[in-house]
Amino acid sequence: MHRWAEHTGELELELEAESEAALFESAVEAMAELLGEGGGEGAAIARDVSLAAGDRAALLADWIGEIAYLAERDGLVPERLERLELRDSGLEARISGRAGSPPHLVKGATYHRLELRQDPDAWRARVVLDV
Amino acid sequence: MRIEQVDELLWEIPRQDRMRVPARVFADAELLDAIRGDRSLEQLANVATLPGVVEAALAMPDIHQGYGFPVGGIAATEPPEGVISPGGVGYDINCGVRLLTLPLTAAELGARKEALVHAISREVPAGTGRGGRLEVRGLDLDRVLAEGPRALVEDRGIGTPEDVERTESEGRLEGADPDQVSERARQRGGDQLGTMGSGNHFVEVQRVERIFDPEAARSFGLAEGQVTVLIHSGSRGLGHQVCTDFVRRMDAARARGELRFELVDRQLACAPAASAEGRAYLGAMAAAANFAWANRHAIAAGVRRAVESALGPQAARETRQVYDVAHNVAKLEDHGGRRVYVHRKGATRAFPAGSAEIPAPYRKTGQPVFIPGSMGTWSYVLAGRPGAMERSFGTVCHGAGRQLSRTAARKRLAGGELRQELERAGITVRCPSNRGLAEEAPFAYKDVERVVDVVERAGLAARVARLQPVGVVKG
Repeated sequence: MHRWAEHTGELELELEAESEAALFESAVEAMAELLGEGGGEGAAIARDVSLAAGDRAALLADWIGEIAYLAERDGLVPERLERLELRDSGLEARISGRAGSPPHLVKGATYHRLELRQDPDAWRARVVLDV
Repeated sequence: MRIEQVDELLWEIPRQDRMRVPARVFADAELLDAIRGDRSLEQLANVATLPGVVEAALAMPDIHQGYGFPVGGIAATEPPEGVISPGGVGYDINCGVRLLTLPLTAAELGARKEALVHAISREVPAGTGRGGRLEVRGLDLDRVLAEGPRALVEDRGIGTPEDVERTESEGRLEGADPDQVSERARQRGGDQLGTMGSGNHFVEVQRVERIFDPEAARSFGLAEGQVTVLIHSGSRGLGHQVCTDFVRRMDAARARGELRFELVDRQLACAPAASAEGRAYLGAMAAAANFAWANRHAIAAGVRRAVESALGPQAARETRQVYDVAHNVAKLEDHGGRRVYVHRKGATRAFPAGSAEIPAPYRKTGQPVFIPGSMGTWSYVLAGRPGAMERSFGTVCHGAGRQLSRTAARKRLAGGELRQELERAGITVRCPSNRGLAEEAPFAYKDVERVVDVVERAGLAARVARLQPVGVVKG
């Protein structure tokens, strides 16, 4: 589950899920919503992603940043997370979607107030995006 | 958060907790009330904790919540211990504005305005990843990163030497090191010169609605009724990647214990300017800043092509550049007997008359400063005043400043309705995204009159002219 919280200048994304992997999947859903406005009407495309980071919160920010990068470079409007392997220091994944012209620019997934935690009832995270 | 009034237009958060210096905000009482509505002041107090920060962390009246630094924030750090912060400069390195004048009045433009706005929308690609007609790779890109727009003039015959002279720092930051720009950043920037991007970037056609200072206006080449074009863009994907790379790199270095200081916010990732990490970032940031100046230079070339197609070759030849200013950058400058890195995050350099740093034609008036309002309101041309050197590290505001989140703006008015409202007000709009249009609605921003009034009364800059939008192209 994702939610866009109020932020005067940028976009603040809040995520909640039953597992850590589901949290990363909910980030794909949020980015699909953001980048999908205007539609990806082109050919089906998929991209493999491989990331490493020093901690889980940074890995999540980098994950979101990578999706924004694929939207800029390849016009990928994400639709589905085909595969996700979370490892101690990184992840391997495959994202599929449609080629299009994602309208909304994400300049960066920041480390400002970055958070990823396991609460007794759910995994929760917050990432602020520079737009 | 406790904040004390210093004078009518200056407020101070006294040094407390981990703050190394106080934090100060230029604002009137009403603007301060609005500023207190988000996390801006908390972010400003965080900036005051940076190692080597001197005097005070400052904010302009257009301050609003950002990430790490607030937008509208300024911090000066003194080397060698003073840090340089990629998070403080931001992702859109050298986002800035450039003003052009056209050799005709709005009345003379008349019905040809629609054709001009349409031609600009065709000549200046907008949107997230859209490339332009100008590709620079390999050694050509190295030249742009090292030399900025001068490389486009000399190597490609784009623009004129006068355009370069009328650009902050002549479009070239010292110390640019193309080798510090990652392969991914190069790949992202290779086809993006001359493209606008999206978000709050725009190319706006305007009319000089009012002159406040006739002598300064004459020196800037502005006359009442004249048509102007204001360009707002930055370093595109290349700059975004440089920031991403160095925030990660400095964050990791601190985690490894190589940088021995605590941070209150990870996005304030930084390193001493004299350290290996600091020097590498300064080289990459300068290269990205030069790329941004080259980008606005190439966009201006697109505007000139649009002027030629809509108004003829003579009008294109006589389209002149007033100046180009950076909004997001860190520069080594002399202030109060110290040599410091001035971080400007959503803030504009505003040097006064007499400064050797500004073009000779403007040395009697002060540096031109452009303050975009919003799509439906005035923009301002200001001139730097001595108060900026005395009170704000030679800096003023950069715009009206957001007051509503993007979500709140969209809830208040749909993009389609806003498009109709603007058209009814005589403003021609070209924007592919209704969502993007709604997010940048005029009511999402503070009152630019009030913001400009504060910086003028505080002695930081003075009004020269007011510009009225008549057409806007957005990403």
